[in-house]
Amino acid sequence: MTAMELSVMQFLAITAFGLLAGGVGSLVGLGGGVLIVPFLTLVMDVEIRVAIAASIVAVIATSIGAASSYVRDGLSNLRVAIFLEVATTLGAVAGAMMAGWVSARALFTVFGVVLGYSGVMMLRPRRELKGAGGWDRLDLSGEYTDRGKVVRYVPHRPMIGFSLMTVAGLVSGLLGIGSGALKVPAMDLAMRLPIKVSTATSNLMIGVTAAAGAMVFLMRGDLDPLLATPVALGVAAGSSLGARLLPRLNSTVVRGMFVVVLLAIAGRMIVQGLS
Amino acid sequence: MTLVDPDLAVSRVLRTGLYVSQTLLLAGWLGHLVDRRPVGGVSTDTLIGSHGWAAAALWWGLVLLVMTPVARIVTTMLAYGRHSVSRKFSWLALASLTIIGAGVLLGAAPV
Repeated sequence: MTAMELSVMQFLAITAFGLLAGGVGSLVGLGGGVLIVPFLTLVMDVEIRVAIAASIVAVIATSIGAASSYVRDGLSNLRVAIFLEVATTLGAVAGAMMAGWVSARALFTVFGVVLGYSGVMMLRPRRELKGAGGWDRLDLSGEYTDRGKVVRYVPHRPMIGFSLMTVAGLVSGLLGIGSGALKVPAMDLAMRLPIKVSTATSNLMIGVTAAAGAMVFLMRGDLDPLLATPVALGVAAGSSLGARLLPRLNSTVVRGMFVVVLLAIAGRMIVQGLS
Repeated sequence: MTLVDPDLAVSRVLRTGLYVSQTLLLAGWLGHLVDRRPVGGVSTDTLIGSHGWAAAALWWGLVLLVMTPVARIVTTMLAYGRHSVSRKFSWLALASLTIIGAGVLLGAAPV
C-alpha cells in the first residue's frame, strides 16, 4: 500500500495508533518508533523505508508534544539536556558514518543484552553512592514538583553520564534506532536522576537527533507527507496527553512501565541479532 | 538587557511549533481529500503552492515540525547567552547545533 491510497478509515486508524504510541512514548521517554514501525509495516502494509521515515517524524512529534509541557513544568532539565546532547549528537553522527563497517547483527545482540541488564538493574533498589556526591560545577541540579511535594536533586557522575550518552548516540547512529532506551538508563543508573526527570529529559533530547535524521530522509525523498500526517497528528496528541499524566503517576509505576518496555525492546533486539 | 527564562522560552517555541505544524498538516490533509492532486516531493515550487495549497500546507507542516527541535536549540542558545553566569550552556547548544549541521551536510542520518 502506498500512502496516496490512504482512506479516511486508514487515516483514523493510524492516528488512533499514533495516539497510543505517543502516550506511551511520552511516559517512558521513548519516541514511539519501536511501536510505529511494526504497526505501519505489519498491519498497514507500508514499505519499511517509508515507515521508518514516518516513525522519525513520530519521534519528533512525541518529543515536541511532551517536552513543551515537561519543560514548562520543570520535569525536563534543560541544562542536563544541553550538556548531554553534545555527547549524543557527536556519537550519533559518528555512528551513522561508521554504519556498514560494523556487524549490525552482533551489535543488536550485544546491545539487546546491555538493555536487558539495564532493565534488571533498574528494578533493584538504589544504593547510596559513596564518595561520589552531586557534582554541580556545571549547575545541573534542579527541582520539580511530584504530586504536591518539591523534589530537589543533584546529578551524580556527569562525566560518566556524558560518556554513556556518547555510546548511546553511537549505537543509535550505527543501528538506526532511537536512543531513548539507552538515554533513560544512563541518566537513571549513572547520574542518579529521578526517573520522571530522566524520562522527561530524554523526551526533550530525542527530538534533536531525530530532526537531524529527518532532514536527511527529507532530502532523500523518503518522507511521504500523506502517511506522516496521521502519524504526527496522533502521536503529538498522545504525547501531550501523556505529559499531563506523568506528574500524577507514582515514580514506581513509571519505572515499572519503562522496564517492561525496555525488556521488550531488548528481547526484540536479541532476536533480530540472532535471526 | 532583558533576561529571558530559558525554560519558558523553550516551552513557548515548542508549543508554537507544535500547534502551527499540526494545524497545517490537518488543513493540508483535509484539503487533499478535496483537491486530490499529487502532493509531489518537497521543493520550492511545492512550498509556494505550485502543486496546490493542500500540498503546500502539508509540506510546510512537515518542514516546520522537523525544524522545531532545531529552533529549540537556537532558542536555548540565545536565552542562555543572555545570562552571564550560565553562558556555557549557550556554547554547548552551539556545539550540538554545529555537530548536527555537519552530520546533515555529510549525509549521515543520526536517529
